[in-house]
Order: sequence, then structure tokens, then C-alpha cells
Amino acid sequence: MTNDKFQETDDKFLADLMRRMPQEKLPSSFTSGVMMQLQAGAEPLADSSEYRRQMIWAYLSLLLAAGIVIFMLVAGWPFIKINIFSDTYQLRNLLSASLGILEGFNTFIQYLRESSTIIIICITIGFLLLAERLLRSRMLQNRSFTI
Amino acid sequence: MRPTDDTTIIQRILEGNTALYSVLIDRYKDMVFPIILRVVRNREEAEEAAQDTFLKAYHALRSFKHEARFSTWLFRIAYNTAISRARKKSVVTQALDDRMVENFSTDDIRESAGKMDEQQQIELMNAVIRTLPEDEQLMISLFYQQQQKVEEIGHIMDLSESNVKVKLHRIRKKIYAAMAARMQLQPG
Repeated sequence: MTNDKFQETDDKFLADLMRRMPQEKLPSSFTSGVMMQLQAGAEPLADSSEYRRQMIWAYLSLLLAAGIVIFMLVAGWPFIKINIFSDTYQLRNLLSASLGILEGFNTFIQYLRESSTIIIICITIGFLLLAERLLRSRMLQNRSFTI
Repeated sequence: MRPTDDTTIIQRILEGNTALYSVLIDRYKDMVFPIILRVVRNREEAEEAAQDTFLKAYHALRSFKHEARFSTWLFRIAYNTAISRARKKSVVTQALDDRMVENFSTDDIRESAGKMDEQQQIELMNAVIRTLPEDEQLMISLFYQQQQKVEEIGHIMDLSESNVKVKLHRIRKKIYAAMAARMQLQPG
């Protein structure tokens, strides 16, 4: 009685027997069934360069808006206390030429701060997100599902 | 003209030629199905799982990095899909006594099986395979029927190469023991 054959790394006898075993097959309608389901759903398309170019502005705007929100939230904290919006004396000296613009900007920021700044910025972010969604869906609609 | 190799087809699908995915389905559906069927053991459920597999693969196509063959990547999805379905419904398999496995000579078993006609051999093999746990059925099927390499089986089933080799060795022993039992051979 020997088990030497069990030590083989492969087994031609089993390989041959397994290969001869009939394998279950899927019905011929399977492929069209899957494709119909796929047509009804989203497509795994890689973003085109045109789409990416358009989107980069949306994402940059989002980033800027998020930066402004964070800055405005942090600026008022006791440890940081940046009085950029209430004290524009140095800015006036540095940018005397554009004082009017700065003051206008300062007034505008002040107004926003005193009213509902964060709400407005959130609405802006929401608007940008909506614009991004609309752009994306319009671009996907333009792509066909045919060969 | 339609592209023929998987990489080009995938590239074209990602560029928008999504209908080309049917080429991949046609190419692999009859390889994916037996894998799933080995695990879930129910034709209807296996068909649903096969459908799930191709849908999942399609939606994850962008994440396919070409590090492995597409078939290996697809089989791994199929295996995971089948396993998660099988977990919902535990399948009882007939466990072989480990001592039985050690007591037969492969030469005797081969000789006895060789005397049978082809149909009997296939029936015997079918019956024997069904006694194995689903992961072992799958492994032996991937190795012999789907012609997957040990490394690829490891990737599909999340096992190391040496682990696959050990398991394959053990499964072969189990198959011979079960064949001997069915042919009513006496341990030598």
C-alpha cells in the first residue's frame, strides 16, 4: 500500500476526468438580459478631458468657498482673533490705490458677517454642487450606448 | 472591426462604447457560471449570482488595474458574490473521514475507475465532487476545468500560493478516497 502518488503536484488522471465532465451553461438570452439591465443603469465611463476641464472650475470654486467658510469661522476664535474685516488701516496704507474697492469689499464682507454670511456661502456651495450635477448629467446624456 | 483582446475591449468600453461589454459577457459567462454553481448549488440562484457578477464587474470596470488577467479579476468577483449568497443559506456537505483519506492507493483506484465506461466515470466523478465542501469544489474546478494557475486561484480565493497547493493536494486525496468508497474498494 503506497500513497506516493498523492505527492504529485498534478494528476493527469483527475485532470482528464475533470475536463471530460460536462459543464453547466447559461441560457443564450443571458447576455442580452445583463445588457438590458446595464442600459437602464449608469455607465462606468472614464471622464473625458473636456469634462474634467469643465469640472475643475466647479471644484476650484467649491474649494474657494470652503476656504472662505473655514477662514471666517476661525478668524473670530479667541486664540486667533484676526481683525482683517474690522481693521483695514494697514491694508489702506498698502493698497491706497484700490482703497475704494477694498472699502467696498470690507463693507460687503462686514455686511455678510453681520447678517447671514455662512448661510449665504452654504447656499453658494449648494448652487455650485447643483451646477456640477447638472453639467455631469448633461454630459452623460450626450453619450450613446451603441457600438 | 471589433477588438478581440480584453484590454482593448475594456478601454473601448470606458471610452463610451459600452455595448462591447456583451463581448466580455459572451466570452466569460460559461466560465463564471460553473464557478458560482459549485458554491451556491442551485441553478436559479447561480443564474442570478452570475448576473450580479457581470453587473458588479461592469460598474467596477474603472477600478480594474490590469494587474491580473480580466478573467481572474472577474472570477474573484464571482467567487465573492457566490460566497455571500451561500452564507445566507448554509449548504451541508458530507464530510470525509480523514483516516479514510490516507488508506487508499491511487493506482488501485485509477485502475478500477479505468475499467468503467466514460459515462460511469463522469457520473462517479460528479457524485464524488458533490461530497466536497463548496470551496474545495470550486478550487478543483478552477484548477482542472478553468485551467487557472495556482497563483490565480490564490488571488480569486484570497489564499496564499502555498495554501492553494496544500489544499489542492488534500482535495485530490479526498477525491480518491471518495472514489474508492463509491467503488467499494477495500483499504489496503
